[in-house]
Amino acid sequence: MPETTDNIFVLVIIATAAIFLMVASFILIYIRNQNKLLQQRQQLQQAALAHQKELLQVIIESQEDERVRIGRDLHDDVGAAISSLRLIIEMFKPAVADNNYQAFLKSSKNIIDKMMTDVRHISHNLSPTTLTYYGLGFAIEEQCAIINQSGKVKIAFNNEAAELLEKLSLPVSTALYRVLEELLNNTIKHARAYNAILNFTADKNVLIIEYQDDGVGMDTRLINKGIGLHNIESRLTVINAPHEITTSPGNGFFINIIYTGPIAI
Amino acid sequence: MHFLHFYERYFLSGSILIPIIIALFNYKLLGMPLKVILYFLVFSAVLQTVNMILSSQYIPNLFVFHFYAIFEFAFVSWFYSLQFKGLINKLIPPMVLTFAVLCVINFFYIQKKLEFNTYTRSLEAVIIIGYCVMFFNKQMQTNSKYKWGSLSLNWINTGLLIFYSCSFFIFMFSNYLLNANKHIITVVWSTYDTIIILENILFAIAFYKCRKQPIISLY
Repeated sequence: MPETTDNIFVLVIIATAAIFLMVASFILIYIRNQNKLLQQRQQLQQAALAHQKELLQVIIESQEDERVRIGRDLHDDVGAAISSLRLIIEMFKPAVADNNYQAFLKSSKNIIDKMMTDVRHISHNLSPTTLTYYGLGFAIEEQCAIINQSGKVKIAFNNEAAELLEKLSLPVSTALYRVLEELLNNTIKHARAYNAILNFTADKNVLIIEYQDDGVGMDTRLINKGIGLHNIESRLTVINAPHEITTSPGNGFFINIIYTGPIAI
Repeated sequence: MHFLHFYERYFLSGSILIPIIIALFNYKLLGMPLKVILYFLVFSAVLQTVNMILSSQYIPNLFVFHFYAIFEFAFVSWFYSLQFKGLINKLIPPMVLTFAVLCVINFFYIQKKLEFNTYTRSLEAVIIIGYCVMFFNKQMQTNSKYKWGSLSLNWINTGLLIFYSCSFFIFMFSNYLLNANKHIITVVWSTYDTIIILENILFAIAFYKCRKQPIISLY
C-alpha cells in the first residue's frame, strides 16, 4: 500500500470549515423554522383575539339595544301609565271633599310626580337621548353639569375636540360615553375626590381623552379585579382605543385614552 | 505570518473582554445561566493570561489545558443543568465528576504534561455538542412567544455549538501540531482563534440581548 502524502493539517482545516458550514446551515434553518412557527402561532392568536373582540362587540351592542328598548318602554309605557293614573286621581271627585281628601290628593300627586321623574331619569340613563341627538360632547357636558349640581365633586370639562366628536359614529360615541360615565361614577362612589378634570383634545383625526381625579387612587394590581374597570377595558378594546391608567394609593387616578379608529364622515 | 501572530496574541485576548464588559454592565439583569457563562468567561480570561505569561517565559504550558478542561466542562455543564429538568439534570453532576476523574487519570498516566489532552477534550466536545442539540430540541418543543434572536440563551447555545463542533478536529489532532512546522501551527491556531472570537461575539450578543427584555403590551 503506497504511503499517503496528504497533509493532515490541511485536512483538519477543511474538516473544520465543513463542520462550520454544516452547523451554520443547521442553525439558520432552525432559526427560520422557529420564526415561521412563531409567526403562525401569532396569526392564530390574533385570529382568536379578533374573534373574541367580535363576540364582545356583539354582546355590547345587544346590551345597548336592550338598554334602549327598556328605556323606551319605561318612558312610553310606564310613563304613560303613571300620567294616566295622575289624571284619574285628579279627575276623581268624592262626594265630600274634606281636608283628608285634599291631603290624600296632594301626597298622591307628589308620589306620582316623583315616580315620573325617576322613570324619566332611569330611562334617560339607560338610553341618553342627548347622546343620540346632540352627540358625545353635549351628553358629557350634561352629565358633568348634573354632577356639579350635586356639589359632591367638581368636574372641570374642557372640550377642544368638538368638531371631531361630531364626526364620531354612534357606537363609538356610546362606548366612550359609557366609559366616561363609569369613570365619573367611580370618582363619586369610591374615589372620595373633590375635583376631577376631563379633557377632550384632537390631533388631526386622533381623539385624546384625559381624565383625572384627586381622590384616594388605587393599587394597580386591583385594576383588573373591578367589574367597572373591566367594562371600561372591554368597551375600549372593542373600539380599538389604547389606554393607559396611572394610579397608586393616595395619588388620585389618571387615564389617558387615545381613539385613532375610523371617523364617520 | 506576522499579522497572524499579532491576531493570535492580541486580537484573541481582547475579544474575550467584549462579552465580559457587556455582562458586567448588565450584571443586575443577568439570570443565573448567564451569570454562569460570565464566571466561565472570567475563568477563561484568567487562564488565558496565565498561559500567555508562561508562554512568554518559555515555560511549558500544556498542563494548563489539562486543568482548564475540567473547569470548562464543569461550567458548561452547570449552564445546561439550569436548562434541563428530570433525568438529564440528574445525570449532569455525576458526569462532571467522572469527567474530572478521567482528566486526572489522563494527565498522570496517559497523555502526560508534555502532550495536549486530545482524548478528554474531544470527549468533552462530543458531550457538549449533545447538550446543545438537546437544548435546540427543548426550545423547539417550547411554544415561545418571542423571536429566536430576542432570547439570550439561544445565542449562548449557538456560540457553544459552533465552538465545540468546529474545534472538534483541532482538539483531536492538536498533538500532531507539536511537531509541525511553525507556519502550519500558526495557520491552524489562527483558525481556532477565529472560532473563539466568533464564540465571544455570540456571547456578547447574548449579554446585550438580556438588556432588551421582551415587552408585553397591554391593549
